[in-house]
Amino acid sequence: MSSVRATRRVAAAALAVAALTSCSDTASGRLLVTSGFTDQIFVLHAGSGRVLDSLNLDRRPGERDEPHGIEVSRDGRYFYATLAHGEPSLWKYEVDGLRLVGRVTLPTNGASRVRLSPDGRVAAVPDYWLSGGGEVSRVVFVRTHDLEILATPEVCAAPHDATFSEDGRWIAVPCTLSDEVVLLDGSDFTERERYSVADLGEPGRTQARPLNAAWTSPSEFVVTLQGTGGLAMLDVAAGVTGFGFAADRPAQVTVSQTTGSLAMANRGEGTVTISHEGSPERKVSIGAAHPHGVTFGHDANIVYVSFEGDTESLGGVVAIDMATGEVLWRSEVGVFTLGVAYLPGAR
Amino acid sequence: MLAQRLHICLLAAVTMALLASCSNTAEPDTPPHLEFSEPVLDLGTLREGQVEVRNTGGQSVGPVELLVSGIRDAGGATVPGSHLVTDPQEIPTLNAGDARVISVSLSVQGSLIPGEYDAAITARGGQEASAQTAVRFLVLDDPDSTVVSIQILSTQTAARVGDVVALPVETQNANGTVLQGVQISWSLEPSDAGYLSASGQFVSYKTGSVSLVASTGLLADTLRLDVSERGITGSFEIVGRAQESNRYTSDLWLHETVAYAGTWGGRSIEGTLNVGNTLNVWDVADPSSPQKAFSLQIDARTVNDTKVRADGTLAVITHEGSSDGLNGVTILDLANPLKPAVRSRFTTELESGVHNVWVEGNYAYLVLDGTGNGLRILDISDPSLPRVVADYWAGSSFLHDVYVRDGLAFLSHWSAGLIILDVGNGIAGGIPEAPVEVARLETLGGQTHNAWYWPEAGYVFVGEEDFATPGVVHVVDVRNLREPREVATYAVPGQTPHNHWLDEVTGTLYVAWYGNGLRALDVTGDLLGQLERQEREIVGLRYNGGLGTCDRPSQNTCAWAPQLHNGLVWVSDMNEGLIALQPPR
Repeated sequence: MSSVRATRRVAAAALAVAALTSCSDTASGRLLVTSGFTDQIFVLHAGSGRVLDSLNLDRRPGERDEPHGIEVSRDGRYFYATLAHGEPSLWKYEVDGLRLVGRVTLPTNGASRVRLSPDGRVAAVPDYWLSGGGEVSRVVFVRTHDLEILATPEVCAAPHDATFSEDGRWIAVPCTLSDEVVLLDGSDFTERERYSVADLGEPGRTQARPLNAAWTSPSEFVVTLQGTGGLAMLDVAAGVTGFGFAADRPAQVTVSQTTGSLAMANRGEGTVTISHEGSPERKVSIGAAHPHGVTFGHDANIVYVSFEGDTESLGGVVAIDMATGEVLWRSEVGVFTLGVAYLPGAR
Repeated sequence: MLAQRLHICLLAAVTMALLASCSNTAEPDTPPHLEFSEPVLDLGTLREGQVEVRNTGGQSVGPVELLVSGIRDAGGATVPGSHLVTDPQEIPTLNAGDARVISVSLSVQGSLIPGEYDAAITARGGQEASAQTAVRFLVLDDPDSTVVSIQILSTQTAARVGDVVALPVETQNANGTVLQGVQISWSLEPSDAGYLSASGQFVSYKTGSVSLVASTGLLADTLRLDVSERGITGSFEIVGRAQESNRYTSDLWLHETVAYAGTWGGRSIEGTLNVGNTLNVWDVADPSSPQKAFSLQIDARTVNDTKVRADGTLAVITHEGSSDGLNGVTILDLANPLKPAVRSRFTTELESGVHNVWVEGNYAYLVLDGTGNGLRILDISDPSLPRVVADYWAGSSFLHDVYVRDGLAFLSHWSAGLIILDVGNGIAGGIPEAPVEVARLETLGGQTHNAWYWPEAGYVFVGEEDFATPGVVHVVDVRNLREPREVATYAVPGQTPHNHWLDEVTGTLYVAWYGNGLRALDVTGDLLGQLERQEREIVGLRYNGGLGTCDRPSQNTCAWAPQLHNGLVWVSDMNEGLIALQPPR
């Protein structure tokens, strides 16, 4: 009898511990990363980098489908991912249960990042038509409720990103093969401005290759220039206002509009440029090949950086303390690991 | 005692509270549930209609795929070249309580013989929910017939299973004048004895006696046929193996006494991930004992395809997922065929990756990896300085593979189907620098993956890589190149086919069928209907005793591509490497 009681106690205690462990996994937040060469999304514990789960997006098991961009809705209920190859598509998941609830095939040649409007009602996916030989391609705007395609404006050659300003009024679109940044109106997706970023940086660079953007204020934003090697600063009214943060082939950049903190993944040199709350910029080596994606945690004190790896190494994620530059953990996960998004803890 | 019970209860309560707070939901919603508005959509004599699908559950579901079955006649035989089309083919998401109207239409090749037909639509939302509705329609006799006599002109009385029997019919009016274009109804007894096409061709599916009845109005004529076994036997015999255990093997190409094999994706071996960055070169002078002569590593995560030019002087290999982001192709100098030397790497406009390649003379036909504008034609007359001379894209979907022969390029263009380009044949004035589209066949069910053109017989064998339904091999009649039409299919249950190779001397099609191994199919004579029901399959081999699956981490059979070379069939297997087989005939 006493042994039964003891067993019950142990079982109940184990259940409690399991519940606490499971709870801590979500309470401290999770990371979602896309593994472009295994056609998966991995779910990581944001505090440790431990892999908690994985989702399979493999539509064509013999082919590479390349999950690329990933973004979480602000209310934390849904996340969205793009599949870049084959017939490009946008996938919608419920956070609860990590359940697939929708997928729409996009009328595009490629797909790269997915960005959400501040109210979460619209997703923007650029047609990163890298093999298009410089032909103009589109940004697709999708209503997130029912995944209906709202608009497909032709914008420029190989747009890679289409990111909304904090108030949703503007959408900045870096155009990789035309060295332009196009500004779209967030209300009707029509073009408002077009800026050239071709002549920034050191003379002699043949292509700027603007890749990703981040808003720094309601009317200002920055754009990574993969070819030029640095960051262009732009103002909606004034156009290009500056250039800085020199680095080899920068990929993604993120900026906290609350604190001004900035992080930029420098794909070509294995570093991340960080600037915390206005402090001078510095570079942190991540100890892994080809950093690609960046996202802040819930308060921009930690930045999570995905890295692709190379033909000899796995991809993965590192967590970096923005104040000290210390690498808090490094987790090898995925192959050709591209996008990273932060999923807040329990609501 | 009481204290102990309270303690346990307290622990349990805390546990439940913790679990509840973590799950973050009060009560789970009811799962999604799909329903069609009609259990049967009866189109009568119409060719289109509408039906509604709704989600009556409490949770969203999506994507909801709309899968269509083949169209079957009253005897249950699938009608090649005819199928249902739904619009949309996939519903992105159905929220709880939402409904969506589906338009249904029939795509029919030629005309159907009068009678009843049916098909089915399945709405499937992942593993969670599905619903099905039947679709029925009717083909009526032509009421204006004025025929007074009908006669089947064929005198054939015997055939083997799988033989196609032509059934010319003559009809006359009261004056004895032969009438043209009279609508003939066909039926057979027993009804499952085979397949009868509207144009009067019969192929038998079983042995025994069958009655073929041609009728118009109240007139009829019957031909009785005795059907015997096809009598095909054969077996594979394993001759040798070229074992590759560190990486997954992809496509192969053999030239003289050398086998070249690419590698694919990432394979974990004792905690180390080995990506597909390698071309393995095998000395197969003694096929019973292949020797790995050389391994070339390039900047890629997959070397999906390799082709050697017919003169054996160079090879082209493909890059996908390169670290430098440039991908493209590498051209190899084969002066020493056992140790290829890199002659050049070409990446311009190929940065997204190259998935497949075909080499024909001084041109390499390149399939871009999974993005639009899919074909690039590369002039490689100077292998050190290749240049793009043309491109082609069908305007939708993406290109997956290309096969070039007799100045014609056969493009497997996924959802856009099979596309034929003139690249020097002359039929449409095309040249490699300016290809001209000759024809396209979009009704092959999508996932058009690879093709083989057999000019002597006038057929193209088209692989459909559909993991869901699963896919089949389609046989397309191209005796009129401008009007390709599907005439037959070949299916093996459970999995989708991959690459194939045709032995045109014996009329044997070798198909690598992933976990279903290597299949050998007799494709002699005319082809019609469902080939797997015609005793045409000579042999199927799961050389590793596979389980019908293709689990790559396992050692199961996972057949990728065959090649007939110097009297042996070589098959590349993702898990194993290369296997040499004595063919069945």
